[in-house]
Amino acid sequence: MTNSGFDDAPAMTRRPFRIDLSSMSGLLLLLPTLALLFAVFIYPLAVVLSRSFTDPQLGFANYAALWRSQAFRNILINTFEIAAWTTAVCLLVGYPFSYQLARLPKRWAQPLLGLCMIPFFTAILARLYAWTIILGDAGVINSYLTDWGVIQHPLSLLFNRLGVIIGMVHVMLPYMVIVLYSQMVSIDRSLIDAATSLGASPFVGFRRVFLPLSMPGTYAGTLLVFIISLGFFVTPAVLGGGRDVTIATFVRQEIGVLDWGAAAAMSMVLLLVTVGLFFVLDRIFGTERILVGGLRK
Amino acid sequence: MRMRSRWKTAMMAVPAVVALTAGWGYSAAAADRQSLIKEFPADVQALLTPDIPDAVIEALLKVRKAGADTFVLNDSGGELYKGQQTAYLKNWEAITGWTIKDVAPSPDPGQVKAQVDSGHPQWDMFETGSNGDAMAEEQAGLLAKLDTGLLNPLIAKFPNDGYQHTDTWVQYSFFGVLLTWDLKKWPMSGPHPTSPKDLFDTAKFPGKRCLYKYPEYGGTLEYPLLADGVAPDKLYPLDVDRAFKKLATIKNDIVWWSSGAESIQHIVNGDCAMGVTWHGRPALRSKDEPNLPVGTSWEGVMLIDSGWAVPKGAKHLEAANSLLAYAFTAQNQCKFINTMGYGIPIDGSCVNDFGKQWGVTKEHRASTATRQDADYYAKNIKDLISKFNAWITS
Repeated sequence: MTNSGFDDAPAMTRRPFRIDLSSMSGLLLLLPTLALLFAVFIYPLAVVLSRSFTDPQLGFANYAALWRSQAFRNILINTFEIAAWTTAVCLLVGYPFSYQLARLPKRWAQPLLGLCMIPFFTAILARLYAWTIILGDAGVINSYLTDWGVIQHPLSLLFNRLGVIIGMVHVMLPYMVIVLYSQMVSIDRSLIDAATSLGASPFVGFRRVFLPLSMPGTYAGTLLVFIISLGFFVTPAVLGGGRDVTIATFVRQEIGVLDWGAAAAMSMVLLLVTVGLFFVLDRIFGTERILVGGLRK
Repeated sequence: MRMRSRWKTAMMAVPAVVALTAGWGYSAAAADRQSLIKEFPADVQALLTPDIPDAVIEALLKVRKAGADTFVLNDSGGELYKGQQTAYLKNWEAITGWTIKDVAPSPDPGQVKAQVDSGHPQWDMFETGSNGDAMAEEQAGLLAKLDTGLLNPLIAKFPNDGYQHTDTWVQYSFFGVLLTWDLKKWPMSGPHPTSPKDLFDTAKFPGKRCLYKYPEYGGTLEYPLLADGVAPDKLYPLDVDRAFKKLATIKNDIVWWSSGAESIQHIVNGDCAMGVTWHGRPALRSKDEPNLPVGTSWEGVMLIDSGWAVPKGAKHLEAANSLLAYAFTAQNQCKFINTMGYGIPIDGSCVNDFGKQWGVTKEHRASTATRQDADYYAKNIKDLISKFNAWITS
């Protein structure tokens, strides 16, 4: 579920690729990728798009129904809220970790990165049930805190938004760290030394030299985590409360009851809003400049 | 129903025919049966017990002669599959020489549609989510027509308790949506919850409630209405607004579960004081853990249902018919009930103590407050999902 899109990460930091039409070999090299993209992405997407306008009959009925649907509006907002929180926490936790990791010699950094990847090797359900045991009212955290007299009543850590964010950060953090780390190791640390030798405090050196140089990775990691988080399904269902229904769950339910037109329309709206958000961010932050410029030393 | 009465007429004619043809007719049939059985390898002949009708043995032989193949069965998997293996799947494999491949979890109508629309459904038989799902699938033209000539005589022997079937699907069990509670909190020796109505009595039984996060299958809309005083026979069509109003009175106490495993684990972990679950869960867990601290009650239970069907275009329809026929013999259903409390008590005399406690037997049905209305859900589920999601997320 969460593996999709991971391979896109390096691609985001790549330079724009110009097709040299005089060279057929370039096209030939692209052909397998294009064929695959067409078969597993473009064609299915076209089918979904057409279904949203034709199932059960031709017209905008599915979109009109969504416009009126209180459930869809609530769930769309929930989905973006959950994804935004997850991304923010991942960035907050992942950035300092990656920063430190990138400074360590390889023989230390590699095992630490390996530890960070451990969640990938555990089945998602096992992870989720482990969280319910840790976070529950009678769970590990609450029973210790109660025994030590820190709290009187158990903290609500589970079956609410907090539980969902904890579970999702657990899943998404490795993505953030991989992207951040792989970009941060490529940053020439002697530039910060140079800044310090010219009188900058370590903090100013970080803020004015390292931080701008790490923006491509930060942006790529944030975008990757945010977009994957929009599709979460099992984690909110197991760790969340009543309000934590995501679009993926709703789409799944509509497919289940043979309302494929509605499911297709929901998917298209989610896609549209996501792409729209991407363009807005691009306008505000000039991502193209950051993505490309950051790599040109 | 029409098939059933016709079969009853036929049954009444049998003694007359036997009487008329006297000895030779009977022995000829017996000889036929013996010669059929002799066509099976020696080591599986013992499995063809006298309770299996001739027609079923004939069907099994036909499948065996067609040559061994792989039969893909889609069901809930896990414990349900293991229980069925013990009850009849392993023996069916031995008798026919086929191999069953299990695929889980069982599909909703959407997944069945995806399979059928592909033109090459991968499953030879599947478990329907409910009779309502089966009706929706039949209506959408997704199901293959079953061999009613073979199956209906067996179905005619089901107890007369509202087991449903059509030409394309057969209900294979009832499931109780049981009330559960934390025995550490309310032991059987003291005052404890007794019926789903107590879910809404947070004054008498304070604590979190574990309910199913979906409008169907879990009594999520039915139990609040029953607790609010709606008569069981006036439950459908559901007064959804009234149900939400009643649910709202405990909204802050509700923990929503999405899978059967969670429904029990939450009670065991102490995350919920009370809740609902499908009866197979506590049944199986109580086998391994006799002191499981989960109380259950059948009082005022709502019964849901599930059946077997074959997707249209499936490769092995004949094998599916023979498997269904073999499974629906009285002895095999008994084994199923005795293993996990699922199945149809066709012959009560072979149900053991576990089966009596956990199977949906006459005693349990007598206490039944209500039964999920398949027809209502088949027609209204899309609307219910929208309303439920709007309510739960607001």
